[in-house]
Amino acid sequence: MQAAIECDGVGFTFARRPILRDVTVRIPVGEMVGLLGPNGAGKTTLLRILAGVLAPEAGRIRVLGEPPGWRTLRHTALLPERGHLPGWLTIGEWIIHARRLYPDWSEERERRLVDDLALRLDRPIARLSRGEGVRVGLLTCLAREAPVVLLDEPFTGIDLLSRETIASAIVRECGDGSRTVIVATHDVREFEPLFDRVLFLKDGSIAADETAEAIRARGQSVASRYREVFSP
Amino acid sequence: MTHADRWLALWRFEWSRGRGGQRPWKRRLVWLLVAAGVSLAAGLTISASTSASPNRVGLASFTIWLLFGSFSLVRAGTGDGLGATAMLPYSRFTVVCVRAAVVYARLCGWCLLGAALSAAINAAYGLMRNPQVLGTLLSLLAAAALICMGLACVSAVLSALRSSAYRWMGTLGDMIGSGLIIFLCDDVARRGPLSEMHESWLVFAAVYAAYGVVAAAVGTRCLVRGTWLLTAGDEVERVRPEKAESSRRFMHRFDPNSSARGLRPQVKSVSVNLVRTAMFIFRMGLGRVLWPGGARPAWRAAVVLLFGPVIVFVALVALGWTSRDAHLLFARLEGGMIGGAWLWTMFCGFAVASLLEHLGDWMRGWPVRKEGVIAGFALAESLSTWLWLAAGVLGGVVLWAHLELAHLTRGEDVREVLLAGLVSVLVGTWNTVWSAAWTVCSERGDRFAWFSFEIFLAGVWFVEGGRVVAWFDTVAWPKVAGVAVAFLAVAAMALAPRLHAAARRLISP
Amino acid sequence: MTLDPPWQPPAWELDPSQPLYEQIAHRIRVEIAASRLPGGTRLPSVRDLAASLRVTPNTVMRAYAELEQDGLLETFRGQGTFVARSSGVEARAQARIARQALEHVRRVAADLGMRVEDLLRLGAEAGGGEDDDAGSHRV
Repeated sequence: MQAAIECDGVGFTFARRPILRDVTVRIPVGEMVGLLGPNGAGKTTLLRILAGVLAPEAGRIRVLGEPPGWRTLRHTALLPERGHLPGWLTIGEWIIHARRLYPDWSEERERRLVDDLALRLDRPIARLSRGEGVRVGLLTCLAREAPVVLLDEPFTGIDLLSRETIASAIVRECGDGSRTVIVATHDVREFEPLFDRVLFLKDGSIAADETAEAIRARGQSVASRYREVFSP
Repeated sequence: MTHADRWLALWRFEWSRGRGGQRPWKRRLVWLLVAAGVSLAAGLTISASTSASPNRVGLASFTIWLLFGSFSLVRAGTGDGLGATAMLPYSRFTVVCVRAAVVYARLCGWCLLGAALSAAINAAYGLMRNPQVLGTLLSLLAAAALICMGLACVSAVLSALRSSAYRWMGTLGDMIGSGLIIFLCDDVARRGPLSEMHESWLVFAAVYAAYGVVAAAVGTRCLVRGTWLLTAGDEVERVRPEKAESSRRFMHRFDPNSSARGLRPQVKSVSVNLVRTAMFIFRMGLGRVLWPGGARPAWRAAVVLLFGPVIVFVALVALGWTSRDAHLLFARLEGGMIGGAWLWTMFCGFAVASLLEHLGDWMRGWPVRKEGVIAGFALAESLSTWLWLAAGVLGGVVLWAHLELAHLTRGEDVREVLLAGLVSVLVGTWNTVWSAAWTVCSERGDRFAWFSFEIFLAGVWFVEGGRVVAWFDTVAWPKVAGVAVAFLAVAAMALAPRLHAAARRLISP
Repeated sequence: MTLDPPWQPPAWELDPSQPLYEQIAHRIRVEIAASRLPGGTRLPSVRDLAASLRVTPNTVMRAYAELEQDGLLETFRGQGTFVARSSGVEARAQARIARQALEHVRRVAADLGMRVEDLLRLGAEAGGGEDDDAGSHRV
């Protein structure tokens, strides 16, 4: 099977502190992957590098066969952080801009997501709560036909019901078998059924890379495996 | 979707930034009227104090108007950050071009509006057909078009340059742009007849535009590398050395739980004693001001820090070397020092406010008087003026020595330069604490009015500073001492309630 | 037939320490064995079932594939997945569940070092019945 994402020896240093060290991983097309690790493990940095908005210092990366850069942003959707949404617009205005800005925007998906995520279009983005902000980010990501979707912490700081809504929306929009999804999170317990495969990122390097079913076949949950990997 | 459609979409998106979305047109109209009013008032003041000829009012107002544009419109494009744009699937070159073009279009609109305003003022004085005034206005417009090009380029990449080694290019570019406009204002308001030729303006402006293009190229590279993304918590990152090293010592001193080690009495006296808190915070903030490089190597931090003042020094000496009117030169230098200190320390206040915001709950938890915290950080931050003032004083002394050899000056000139340095330190320190306290506790709308007023005051200092210093120099020493004491008393009295309000706001935002 | 709205599964709680596809397949098998899903009933699409259970589509696909192999489900291209119409579907499902239950009882008996008959008798004498659920849940 063709690999959606290939990393070979990826490293990154900031302010003389190593953030990623020799990350080597290969993710086939159509998998839903959980990138798990505590805060500060380098999850966000890795996703930014895969999205092509941050250049790695070492190593070789291919996203659908291309090195990441602005060109791969055309088929990669990275969940924008809170501050990376256009705060000066309302949700509705942003959607109108997004339709024109993204060549792969699907208005059908957009309508479905606006309903599913219960977005109020007249709300100014700058004044959204954390949960609403994440939902607008998800809309921005998932309304595109992008074959690679990178979601950074889509669940933190959000109440349980909204989390379930978000998880369902992710599965519904990404579940046609052609989209590769990476979800970075430290909320393992509730959402582990979302992952075909889990990568454990510890201090900037991959501590384990397993399929979720292989973990369960050993009678272990992903959460207990997480505890095993990260407990000192 | 064609190429043109995509460009247009990006243009519309970037253009929507400045609209402010929810801001009603009435507010914007009021804003314009305020800007026009302040420009006119400043123009009147400047022309009254220098040339005493009404034919400069329109021109000077126009430059002040430009100064407003260079502050507010350039910020409009950077205020909400790059994030929203950088995630879009467009080449980084396209992104920078479109951003610069949008800011440029805005600035040009602003210039044309200002030119119309200036023409209206000129017409009111019956100067419509005066060839000198008309020619100067046209040259001003041409220079402004070039300066705006530089400003637009710098503004497009200002956020992209953050946290890279080239961060200074953005801040310096921003400052030079405003500096050039002040230079235009100064040249327009100069004593003597208006000349019709202003090639030097165009040369400077063109050089600045070229600088802007270079900065944009560097910024594009930074955008590609993505280092700007790593700025979240940058300020905290910068105080981190202090956090790590002195935090333990610091908490040790202030933590009421450390009473077991017999520190209780000291804790109590410190938390009561505002001045000691301020001094402690001052020492803590000192490293951040003197060594702003953070993780950068020391020599590089020093270069970054000294670059601006050294340039100022060189420019000052170069410009003053062939001066014909030494006294005017020194009066200008003195005014420039005080006015510059005023402007710079206003921004220092902003920096302190944003630092406090970044420190957030970490700082809120300190069991100390928050007035002392604000004052301490502000005092430390105000030290950054000293380098610039030192450049000014040193430049003044060098020029004085040079002109003394040619028997063009008298002893009082150098005395006045030193006095101006002293006044700037006093005034600047006060202004830093004041503007930090004000920024912390004011609403957005008030902030703009205050900001305009500060700029206006800086303008007054620029123009009248020399005369104030000259007056000080003629007055007997006891009187000066009296004025200084009175100044300190009034300044402290004005500051105390403001600091108190700011401290309250800090604790419960 | 295809116009009927598909069957809506109840909100199952899945055990994250057991293979998820097996649990989903088991739940559907139980529904069929208990005659709550007659032949020809349309099942939700892979994507919809995955979204409502919040599992990956690959998991649901694997569960459907297993049930298809057992002859309990049949998929028609472009129409969806249905409970097989052939006779004896219920019986096949029941037989499979019974086999699994028996295996489970055997394992417990082996753990206790007892014979299966003794274990069953002991259970009946203990007057339980409330523990039955726990047993069938685990499989």
